[in-house]
Amino acid sequence: MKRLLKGCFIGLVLTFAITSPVSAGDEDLPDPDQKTAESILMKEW
Amino acid sequence: MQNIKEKLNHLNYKLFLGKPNNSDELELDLISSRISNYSNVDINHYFLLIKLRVLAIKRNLRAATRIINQIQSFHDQLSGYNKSLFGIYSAHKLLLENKHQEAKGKLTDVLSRENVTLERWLKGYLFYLYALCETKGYRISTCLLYVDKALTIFQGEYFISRCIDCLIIKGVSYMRLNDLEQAEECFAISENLLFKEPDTNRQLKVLHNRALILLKRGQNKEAVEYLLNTVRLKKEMETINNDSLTFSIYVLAKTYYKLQNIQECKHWLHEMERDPIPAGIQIELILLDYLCMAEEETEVLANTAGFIKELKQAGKWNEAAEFNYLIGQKYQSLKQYKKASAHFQSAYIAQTNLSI
Repeated sequence: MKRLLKGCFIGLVLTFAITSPVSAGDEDLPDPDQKTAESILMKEW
Repeated sequence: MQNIKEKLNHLNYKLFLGKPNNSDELELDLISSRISNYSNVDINHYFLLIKLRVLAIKRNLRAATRIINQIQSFHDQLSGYNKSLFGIYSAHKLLLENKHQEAKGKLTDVLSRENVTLERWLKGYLFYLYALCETKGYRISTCLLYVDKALTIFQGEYFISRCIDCLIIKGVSYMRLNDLEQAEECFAISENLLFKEPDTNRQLKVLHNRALILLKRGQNKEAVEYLLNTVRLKKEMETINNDSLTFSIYVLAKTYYKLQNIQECKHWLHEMERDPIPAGIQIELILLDYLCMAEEETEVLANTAGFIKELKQAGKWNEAAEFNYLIGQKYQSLKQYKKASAHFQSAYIAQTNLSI
């Protein structure tokens, strides 16, 4: 039983050694608008 | 009346280009005072929609919400074109609030209105925002489909900075598919375009994403150099908001953790501005804090389960998979193989939940 568990564990570790997950939140995505300095300078309505 | 319509059209376009100037401000004030004298409902609605656009660009989201509620009360009376504009500009505001699912709903409505003719730049912008929603929702194939549609239009109209944005999204999508060569190609073209239209904000995004490619290739030292440069330049740039800087510091700290340089990880977590913590990474930061704390007191790892559950409930399967993996690794180093195995298994299941 212990051997079986160890085997499963090694299998899982190997799976992740190949496909180590990368978070989707790590990428720096573009802004939805242009976000230029000029547009920020526009005065209040 | 025609004159006012033309002026509003011109301003609407300038807001898309991100280049409104001082005379436009005066023009807006002038229109604001004159518009009430006209009874043309469509132009009044159009004016309100541009007002919504300006408020969202200025990140005055509370005032933008008020305008949205106001327009919502007479939504049925809007013309087809104004309805489409309302959908696109509400989606823009929702994306700024990280509500990409709701934003996608608005954009889907606009896409389904086939009888409405939109200007080419607006159509490109619609596709671009849709691709952005899809990339945030991790739906890679539809993201690529729409970002290509947007890119085709922006290339045809010579909107260089918009092309760069599309190429960044494409690069990120290929990176997620582990097609690192294609991803690098996209970022290399972006950098070429950045020579033509220099923009530090976009340059930093390219730099940051290239660091992630290096990490995937196992070139960890180079990746950390890229990330350190990104953080340094973001600190120097006054126009970059705090959220953007905090986000890059978080990724840098996590990278150090993955490289098992816990001291540097703690240093950068300490450097981070946490008042307020950007909404998008609140749970992730708590989990990273726990992982660092587990270096001294391993029992704290037991507290992570609830937060992993929250990530899953928020549909953040990648983040759940990643933190399950990191916690599993920690248990493995502590020789607690049963717990490690359970976390690796959870990571695997979380990853298979991704809809690609």
